[in-house]
Amino acid sequence: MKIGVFICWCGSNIKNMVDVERVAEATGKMPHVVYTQDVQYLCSEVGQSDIGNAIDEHQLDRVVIGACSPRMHETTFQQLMNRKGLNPYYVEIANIREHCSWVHTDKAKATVKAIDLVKKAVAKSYYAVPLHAESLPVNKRALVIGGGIAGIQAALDIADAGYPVDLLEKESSIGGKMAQFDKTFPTLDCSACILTPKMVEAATHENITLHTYSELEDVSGYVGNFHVTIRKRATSVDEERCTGCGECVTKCPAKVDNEFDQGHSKRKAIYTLFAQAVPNKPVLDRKNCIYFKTGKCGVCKKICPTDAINYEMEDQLIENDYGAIIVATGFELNEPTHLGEYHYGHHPDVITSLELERMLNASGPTQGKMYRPSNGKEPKRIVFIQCAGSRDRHDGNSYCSKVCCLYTAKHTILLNEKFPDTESYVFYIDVRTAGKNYEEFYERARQMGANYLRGHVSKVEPLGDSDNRLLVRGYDGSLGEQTEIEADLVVLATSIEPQQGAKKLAGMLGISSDRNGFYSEAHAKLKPVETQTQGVYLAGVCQGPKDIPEAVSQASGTAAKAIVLFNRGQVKGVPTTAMVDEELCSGCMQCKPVCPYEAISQEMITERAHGKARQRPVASINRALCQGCGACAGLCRSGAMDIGGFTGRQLLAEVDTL
Amino acid sequence: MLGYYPGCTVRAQKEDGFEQESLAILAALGIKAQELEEWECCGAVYPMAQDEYVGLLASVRALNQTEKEEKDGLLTLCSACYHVLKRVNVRMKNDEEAQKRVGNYLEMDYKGQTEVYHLMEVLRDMVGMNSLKEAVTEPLKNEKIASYYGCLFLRPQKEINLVDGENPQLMEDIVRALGAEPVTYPYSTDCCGSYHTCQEEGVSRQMSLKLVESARRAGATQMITACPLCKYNLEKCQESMEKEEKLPIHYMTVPIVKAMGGMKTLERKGEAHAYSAENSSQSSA
Repeated sequence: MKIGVFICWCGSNIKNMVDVERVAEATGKMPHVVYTQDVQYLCSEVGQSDIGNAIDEHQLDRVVIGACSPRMHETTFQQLMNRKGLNPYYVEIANIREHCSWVHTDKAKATVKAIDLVKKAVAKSYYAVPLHAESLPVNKRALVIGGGIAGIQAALDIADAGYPVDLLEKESSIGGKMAQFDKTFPTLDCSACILTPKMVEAATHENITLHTYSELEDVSGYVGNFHVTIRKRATSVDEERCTGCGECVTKCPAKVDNEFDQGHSKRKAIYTLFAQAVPNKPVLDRKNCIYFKTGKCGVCKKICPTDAINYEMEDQLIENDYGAIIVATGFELNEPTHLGEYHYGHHPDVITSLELERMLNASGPTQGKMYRPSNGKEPKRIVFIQCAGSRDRHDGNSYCSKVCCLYTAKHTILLNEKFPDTESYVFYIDVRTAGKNYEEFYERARQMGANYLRGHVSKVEPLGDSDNRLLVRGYDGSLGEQTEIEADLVVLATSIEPQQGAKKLAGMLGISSDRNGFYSEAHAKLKPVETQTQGVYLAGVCQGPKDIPEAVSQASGTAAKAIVLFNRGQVKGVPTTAMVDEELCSGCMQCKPVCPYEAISQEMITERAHGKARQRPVASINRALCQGCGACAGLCRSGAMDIGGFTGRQLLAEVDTL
Repeated sequence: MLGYYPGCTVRAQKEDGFEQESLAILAALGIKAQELEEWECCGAVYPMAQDEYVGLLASVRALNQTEKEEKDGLLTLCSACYHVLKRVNVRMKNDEEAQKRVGNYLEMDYKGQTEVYHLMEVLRDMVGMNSLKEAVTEPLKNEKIASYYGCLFLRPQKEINLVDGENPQLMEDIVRALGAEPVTYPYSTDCCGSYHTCQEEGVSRQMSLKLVESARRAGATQMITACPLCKYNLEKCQESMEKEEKLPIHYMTVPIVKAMGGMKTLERKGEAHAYSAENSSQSSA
């Protein structure tokens, strides 16, 4: 056994707090260590060739590296080992940056700790065994969950590369939130005009299958081989027969609040989500249907020229296999009723930005006319309140919703263009305009006459006058004094929040969420579209607030990941999984219930004892499912279970060196 | 039977009728309340320091006394007493350290069992707005009444939890039940200036005047409150005005008494309630 130890300076990151030469010197005295070196940047080409040369020159068979976290560069060094014809699991990394130099301020003590960390790694490498990854076939079909702009973009990119994609959407039409918007910042492109062609393209693409009005029921399997059950909710309308003539919608007598218009218009119980819906076929909302509530009516069935209405239709379960899953489930907007000081829900003229967006939309409930919900009159003075529920540790979400500054600037511009005699006031904490052409856009809003007031609003309350106007009381930080504005309409920039079902979906997919409920990417910098579960990728706002171009580029990123996976056709499994020593295993199967990935099953083996062959149960690991968490190894009472690369022997050796 | 806690201010200002009217209203509506055998000042200000326990003692004595007398809760009229008693009670319910220290000192085991009620809470939860409406014999058709809660009933919302602190409607509901029109006016949840009146009178005058003028602009014919200090401040700020310019400031009991037919009628009704209750308890015995 010949071990080489390499200590990285990481420029000044490690060297300033750890005496790297002393670390190299101290570890060089350990048994089997035949070579030590400290290098300025180990991950650089120079550093790697230093390691390579030392391997050749000193016939090293194991390499120990003291550097940054293995999460940064383990693969880099494993590939180097591969190139040198050594097993990649013969490289061991001691994290002397994140775990040492970055978090300490006393160089002498930090050096002692770094020596210990590297010594541990050397001891661990004594008992390293070569590990080999298995190759698994990949099912070249992708599932995209969520049919908003991110989901549509991901589906189109994968489909264009020639692979089949299923696009899942819980509403009756794809399009998502973007379909509700009027214009988009900073170009003021009409949202529908740029979105609907993509919706149509997705629907007509030969490689894309749409599943609207559908939800994810169950997911099992692993990268390359996900088995998914989709629940297609009963629309009560036979898709094959329906021509989308809309006769049923016209005649349906049941009217309910239209969610798409944020309650500013009515829709029927049988309805299409919006005029340009894709697929443009109605669904029957059974909760509000008179026939389903009372057993009487049936107008839609009587009137349908193609006999497409089917009240007996049931939910359908569709099962399919996929190689990759893209999560693009989007967001919800916070309902600001908990912010009592803004009077939302108590006064009809306090509305949310999305409600304003619908009003401004030419195909919205008012055909683009502004009105005060209380009396229908056109508002003359509008006050916008930013961060309603965002950047608020006490009564809301601590994070920034990112898009509100820009869409509010957009609203003031649109109002100024369409209704030149309206006055806009914007209360803000900061205006954040990081993004191409965003600052210029904000500048344009101000130049067009929007009044920006830096400060919080303390209270919105009814003025008690005959017009039922509102008094907005706040603080104007530029003047350093309290200010009051009498307003016709108050618009709240509500906070972006994860979908309500986000947690449940995360559980099904085995991905994690951050403290705010947004899905966590595998690495904040270098793996922004991957998740901790291989083969599951994140696109759009489900991962965190972002604007349309960001969501679209992230979506294309996920598509690229899926395409790479499909092109390769197979995935290398991770060899650091659980391993059973069948001779030691008693077959008690205590490990089975603790496995979070359902990777353990029972298997019968035949062994010879006293000259007789007999059958005996033992635990067996599905290495594709196993994520190497170690729950089973910690629990196994006979010591039969070990994790590749982290065997009990290796961990004990680490402890023994200290 | 509720225990009744008068509090110093209400008792000292007895002649302004708040106490007499409140008890008469409740009696007429069939709610019985009996003054605690022993009580002292609630402490007047809720102690804000985490490690200040002495300020809790007086209120805990009253709360514990209520339990000892086997009353169904503790009724109070003054907003400050209500505020202090209720917050002390919340503290005693949730803070084990306070339970221990206060308990050791007073040699009693009190863990916040007593419910604290204000007059308007009793009207809402025990009488009900419909019964109140039924008891109105002379609806106040021409009155436009501005309700002023003052801070002590509203904040902190989590502990007091009497009404929605940002958009309270309870007094307005009562006003409606009396047949009068509740006035919506800005600043209705602002502070009157409170104790500033003792040292910086200008401050409280400015704050109170803003309230009164806002209510007047919104068309109020009178303003009602349940807080002795608010009432004082709202009246004080109008001191220099001509009589006809002044907006009358009343305790909330004044319009209730009027709508229910005056004190004489109320007292008669109260006696009738007491008589029937006595008879029914005799017959059941």
